[in-house]
Formats: sequence, C-alpha cells, structure tokens
Amino acid sequence: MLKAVILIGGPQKGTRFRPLSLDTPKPLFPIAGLPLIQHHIEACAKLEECKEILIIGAYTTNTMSQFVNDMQKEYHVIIRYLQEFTPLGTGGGLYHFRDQVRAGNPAAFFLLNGDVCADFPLKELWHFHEERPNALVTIMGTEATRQQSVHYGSMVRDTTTQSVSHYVEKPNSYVSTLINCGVYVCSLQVFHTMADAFQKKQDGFYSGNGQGSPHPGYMSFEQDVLMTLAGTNKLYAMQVTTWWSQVKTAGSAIYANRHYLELHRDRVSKDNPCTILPDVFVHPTATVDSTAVTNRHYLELHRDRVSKDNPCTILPDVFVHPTATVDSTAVIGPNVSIGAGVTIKAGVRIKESIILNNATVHDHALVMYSVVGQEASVGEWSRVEGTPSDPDPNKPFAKMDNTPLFNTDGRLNPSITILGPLVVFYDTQWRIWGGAILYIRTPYGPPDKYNEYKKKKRENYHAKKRLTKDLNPKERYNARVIWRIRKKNQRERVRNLNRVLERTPSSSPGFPDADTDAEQDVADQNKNYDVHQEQNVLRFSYSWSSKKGKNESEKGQIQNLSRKR
Amino acid sequence: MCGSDKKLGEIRALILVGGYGTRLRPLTLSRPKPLVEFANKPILLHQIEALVEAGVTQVILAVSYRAEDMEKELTEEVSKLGVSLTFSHETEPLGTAGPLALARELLSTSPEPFFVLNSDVICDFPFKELARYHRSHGKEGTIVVTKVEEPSKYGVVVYKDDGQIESFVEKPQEFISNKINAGMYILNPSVLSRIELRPMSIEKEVFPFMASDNQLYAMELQGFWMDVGQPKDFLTGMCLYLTSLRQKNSNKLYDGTGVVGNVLIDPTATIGKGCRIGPNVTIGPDVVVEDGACIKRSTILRGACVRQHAWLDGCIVGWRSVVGRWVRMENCTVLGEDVIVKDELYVNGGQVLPHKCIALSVPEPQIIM
Repeated sequence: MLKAVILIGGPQKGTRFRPLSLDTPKPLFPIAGLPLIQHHIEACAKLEECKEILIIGAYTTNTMSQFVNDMQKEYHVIIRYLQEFTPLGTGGGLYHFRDQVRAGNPAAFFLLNGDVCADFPLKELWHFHEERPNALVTIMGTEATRQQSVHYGSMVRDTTTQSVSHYVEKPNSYVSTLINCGVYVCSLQVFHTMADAFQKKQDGFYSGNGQGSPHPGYMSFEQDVLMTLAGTNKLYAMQVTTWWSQVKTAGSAIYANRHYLELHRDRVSKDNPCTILPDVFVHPTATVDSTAVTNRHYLELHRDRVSKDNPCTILPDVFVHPTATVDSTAVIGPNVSIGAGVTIKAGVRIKESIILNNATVHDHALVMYSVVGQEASVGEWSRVEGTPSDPDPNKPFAKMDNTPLFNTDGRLNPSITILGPLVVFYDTQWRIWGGAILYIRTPYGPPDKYNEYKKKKRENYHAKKRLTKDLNPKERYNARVIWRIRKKNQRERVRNLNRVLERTPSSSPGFPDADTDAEQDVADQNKNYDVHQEQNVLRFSYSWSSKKGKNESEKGQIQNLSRKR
Repeated sequence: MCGSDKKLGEIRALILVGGYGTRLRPLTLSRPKPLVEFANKPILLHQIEALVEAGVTQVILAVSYRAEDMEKELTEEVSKLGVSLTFSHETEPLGTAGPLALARELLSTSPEPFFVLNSDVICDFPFKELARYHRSHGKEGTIVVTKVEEPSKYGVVVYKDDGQIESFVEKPQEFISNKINAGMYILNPSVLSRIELRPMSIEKEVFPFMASDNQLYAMELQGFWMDVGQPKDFLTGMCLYLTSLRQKNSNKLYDGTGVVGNVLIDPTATIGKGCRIGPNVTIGPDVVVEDGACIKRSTILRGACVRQHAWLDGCIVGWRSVVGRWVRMENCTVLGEDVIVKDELYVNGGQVLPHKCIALSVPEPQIIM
C-alpha cells in the first residue's frame, strides 16, 4: 500500500498570487478548469496502490472541507485534510502528522508540493524507489538552465548509482542544473531522520539559537532533511524530462493552464471525436475540433440563448465550464479556461487566459494573456492584454521565470495582467496592458466618469426600491429577502477578503523562506523589495490608463496610493 | 500648360500647391497632398468648389511635382464645375511668392484682383466677402486672418480697427495679437511688381513692405479654420468641418443605427451589424466596415476594410488598407496605402508606410518603414 501527502501551505503564503489568492486559496485556484491540487489528486488516484491522500496545510478546515468531499466522491480514495495549528514549514507539518502517515503501515508515501504542476510520473518514481532498498527519499528532478537553477534546490548526482551526493537549496552560485521538482517518494524510515532533525531544532530553539524560527516545531523538509541525507547513499534522484513548472505568480498559471489542457487532451480525445457533456446541441454543419470540450450549452436555457446553427469558434485547447454562456460569435482559444457561470458576450475574443467564476466579458472585448477574477466584468470594446511570460522556448530546459512584481526602478515588470475579483469597468473601450494588477472591487475607467458611474449605481438602487414598492406584500417580501441575501453574501465576501488582507501583514518578519511558497528571499531583498511595500501597493493600486496612448511609459508604473484602514 | 483663351475681366485664382507634403506622409507617398481626400473629397476640390461659387473662372495651380497625377485626376472633376484649370510648373521650388512671378503673364492679363491661397487650408472659404471687402478699401491687397488660441507658434498680424495692417510679428513671446495669416489673399496685379522670379516668401518678403506702404488690409475669418498639413490637424480639421456641415447642410451627414454624432459615409460603403461609428468619422467610397467595429474620430479612405470588432480612435486608414479583427488603433495612427494590420494587434500612433504588413503590436508611436 502507498499513501500520498500534499503540502499546500497556508493563507499567509501565496502573496505573489494576489489578488487571485484572496478569495480562493491558491491550492484551489482553477487551472484548466480543475483546482490546482486536483491535478495532484488525480495523479495519485490513478495509482492503484495509493489508498489514502493526506492534504496538509494551514488553511482552515472550512475552506477545504467542500473540496475534500468533492474529491472523495470523484476519485473513491480516502482523502483527508489535516490542518496545522500554526505554519510549520514543509517538514514540520509532515512530522507533526507522522502517525497519520504511518497508520496502516504503507510501504512508502509520496510527498508532493502543492504549488507544482507536472505530468506526475508517480508510477515510475515508485518503481525507481522500490529498486533501491536503501533509499529513504527519492526526489523527482529535472534539468534547468544554468542561470535558473540557482532559484531552485540544486543537486549533484552520482551517475552510476543515481544517489544524491550533494544538495543545496537555492544556492548563491551555480551548483548543478539538476533541480528538485518538489515531488518525492519517502520510506517511513525518513521519520527517524526527521526525529533527529526535530530534536536538533527543539534544542536550538530553547537554547536561544532558533535563528528566528517562529515555532520550535518549524522544520523545512529541504534544508533539515534532504541536506542531511545528501551524501549518505540514502537520497536518490530520478530525472524526468516531461513538463514541469511551479505556480508562483499569475503568469505561471497561464503557462500551467496551457500544459494541463494539453495533457487533458490526450486523455479526452481517445475514444470520441469531441467530448460532449449532456444537453449539447451541435449543428450538423458546425465544425468542432476533436479536442474541443463543447459542454457550454449544458442547460437547455442556454441552448435557447445561444444561436442554434453555429456554436462559438473554439481554437484548441480550451476548457469551458458547463454553466458558462458563450455567445456564438465569440472566438475562444488557444489556452483558455472559462469557469462556472461566466458570460461571454457577442464578438469577444479570448486567448491565453483564465476567466474565473461568474465573470462577464462584454461585447467585442479582447482578453489575452490575462486572468479575469471572480465576478469581474470587462467593458465592451475593451482590450485587456498582458505580456506573455512563458519560459524561453528557444532555450532547452528553460523554466518559468518568477520575476518579482517590480523591477529595480520601481516599475512593474511586464507580466500577465490580472483583474482582481469584482473589478468593474464603468466605462467602455479601455485598455489595460503589460502586467497591470487591479485589486478587489477596483472600478476601472476614466476619473471623470467615476461620478457618473456612482450616480448610476445610486439610481439603480432607488429604482429597485421603487419596484418593490408596487408589489403585493408577499412578492415584496420575497424580493427583499432575495435582495438582502445577495447583499449579505456580497458583504461577507468582501469582509472575508479584508480579513485575509489584515492578517497577512503580521506574517512574521524573518520568516525562513524554504516554505512551500516563500521566495521573498535574498535576491528579492537585494532589490529593496519588502512584503509591506508590496501590500501597500497592491491593495490600492489603480493603474489608470487613458484612452489616448500617450505617456505610455509613465502609466506602466503603478501608483502607490496611501493605505487607508 | 494653358487655357488662357478666356476673355478679359474674369476672376482668377492661384493655388500654391508646391511642396512634397512631407508632413502628411505616409499618405502623400501614394498621392499628392492636394488629392488626399478630406471628408471624401480631395482637399483641392474643396477649395476649387468654393472659388467657383465666388465666381472664379480660371484656376492656376502652381505645382512643382507630380503634376500629371493631378492633371489626370482633376481635369474631369473641374470641367464639370465649369472652370478652366491651368498648371504652372515650377522647375525648382519657388517658395510662396515665386510662383506668382512665374504666372505673371496669366495674372496680369486684366486689372482685376486675383485670389491666392495655400493648398492645405480648410475652412468656410469666404471668397465673396473677401472680394467685396477688398473692393471697398481699394488698396493693393487683403489677407484673411483667423483667430488662434496659441499665437506664439505662428506669425501674428497686427492691424488697426479698420483692418489696415500695421505689422507682422514672427512667433511673438509676449502677447501682441491672436490673429494669424490664414493663407488666403486677394491681390491686385500691381502687387506683381513687388515680386521677382526667384525663391521668395510672400509672408516675409512681400507683405511687410506692402504693410509699410499702407497697402495691405486684413479681413477676419468667421467660422473654423485649419491647416490640414499634418495627420493630427487633418483629424482636428475633419471634426471642425463635420461640425460646420451639421449646421449648414446636415442632410449630407449619415444618419442611421449605430452612428453617434457627425459621421460622413459614402453611399458605396458597407457597414456591418452592431457597429458603433462616430463621432467625427468619414468613411470613403467602397469601404467595408465589418460587424461590431467601433470607429471614432477617424478617416477611412477609399476601398479600405475594417474587420470585425476592431476599435479605432484618431486614425487615418489609407486606401485599400485592411485593419484586422480585434485590432485596437489609436493616437493618430496613419496607415498608408494598402497596409495590412493583422488580427488582435495594438497600434499606438504608428505611421505605417504603404504596402506594409504589420504582424506585431506597436506600443509606442513610431514610423514603420
């Protein structure tokens, strides 16, 4: 029997994924239509020997329970979420729940970082581990370029035995191009090594040499376990050549999206020409590529709304959620994921983008290299355009560069454009580009039109009130209840978002950075880049762009507005 | 070269076509500037029509290059108007006064005053009033002046209340006057004696002397005026022209669904569904605007195609150019003749030379060779 452990970190992490990580925990961010870690679960569930999947993180059980239940139903594997009482690092959490992992005496367990995306070759990894009886841990490794390898865990491998003779996490200078993918197979004996490391940590913490550890139980799997095991013939590495990437920034999400869509395609297209979920209407004259997933006309209702004779044009690979409504004149793809309840209006063009739940893209808009947040809305004839940040295709083994948000001049680095949740365009025909990030509920448009927009909103409010006045008591009651619930939900969502924001600044200074998602490390600090600054800017960043293209360079800069409580 | 067999006593006009129109490139690479359509009609034709209305029967074009093109294009149009067209070729550029000397023979055949105008001026041409005013004061010449907001960029004209010009001041640092030379004059043939056959500037080498002899008067122009020699001013001039057209002759403007504000659309153009066109757009003959395009403050020249869902603001789209789907073009972008802009691109202030195919976005204003 085998088990799998997925480390997902906590809400304090994933800061570079903001504002997208504010209302959806990063591990549940949909990539190719599935939450990020569902891809992990899918890979584990495919392996027959794998009987239990443990998810360890610092998110509250509430946030995760729905997802865990859904997964359990879908994959018929025992899936449990174990919440750390405080962030314990990549090793600490695992060690804390060691009895849960040991229970049932599995032969070994997989350890997967939640923020990696790959075509997980778990079977091969397991066989590789099995063949080497003295292996405690086998690391899945991949080749990176010389320059990029220093941003990852670098390892030196004995060519004949494949054992790791040297391991260093994020070296300052070049060590090796073989890097750690954050996917491991561990034997249960690894807990002995961890126990020693744990003991050492405890001793250090209580004798005052904790080096700023926030908690005596804090432990990094890479630094405290892998580095001690390197050179003892107990640590092995298997090199894979399949696609692998980390999801740190939104730019990498778009990249991952493309590859997962491609992977799904292989799975989907085998037996039927085109995947069709129930209640689909495809006209005989329509051309649907075999790889398109045309499930968007899921509901009969939608079918009526969508023009009958030709479904929208889809350039593979595209994922469209069954409940999304896509106008027949829209052109979608390649590399697009469209979430639940999304409305895509007439003449819209979307490519290389992720559209999250309940967002609306109005007529004639163009969205490319962007992420559109939940319930955001893009105005008509608008152009939302990011800068593609894929790894250099001409360099073999190049990985996604997770560049910091700002460059040394304090300008935004060109990247994927992100519209945060509930961002509204209150005027049409605007252009956003080059890595702009609009935060939650940011109304976007010309300053002079803002009052108009507010006035209209106020009018809507009064109109609604007037409407309910003429209804009979029962109807009025119903309307009000619905209205109140809607308001309440909205308020609550905002409150939750704010709560996340307020909590995060306290994420302790000097937090060691080898966590699943911490990389505000030396390199970044050298660039005068600190967490507080980032928050300040991100929270109230309005990237006003004018319809006229002048002062382009000036506008690429985000305005740093003062923080209000 | 000639057409001077008309009888004496006719009103003549000289249009200074001159120049290569470098400022209106890339459009002038394919067509001489006076033939570039402004509001669906060559700039020169606007002027000739106004002159004909004022009773002018002979128009002399002082040209230095591409006269054949103009001759071919204009002869037919102009003969319809019942006016004779004479070309006066300059073998070398003669400035703004030299061409008058070159056409001395034609101009001095009668003692009647003649009109002189620069070819890139668009306004409510006041030729009738100008002639009347000129006769009323009886001096050698009258200049049309117009009010501008920023006179420091131009040479201003200082004149008395009765219109007699006192002096000209080039680019005044301190405010002296906000009236500038509008590039339209009426002169008596006697002025020709002040001009020699050499490169000469009428503004600098003729008018100041006339003013000091108290022989020059100014008439203020009512309504709009624009020098359309540059793309930016071309579009501004178009807006002004359409506004004045709305007041004078609004049935010429297009009125239909999806049109906002003052829009001029040639009857042979095709407009798709769900478009939003206007304000201030002129669309030339045989243009195709496909479904869902949005065009504002732009000129689309003959035979061009704006494909689906494109968005244009402040652009001049050259003859037979194609603007791809979901393209966004703004900030005084000028496409020359037969340019293709591929789908989904963004062009900010690009000046694209003829016969070019653009496959990459142009984020900063630049010339694309």
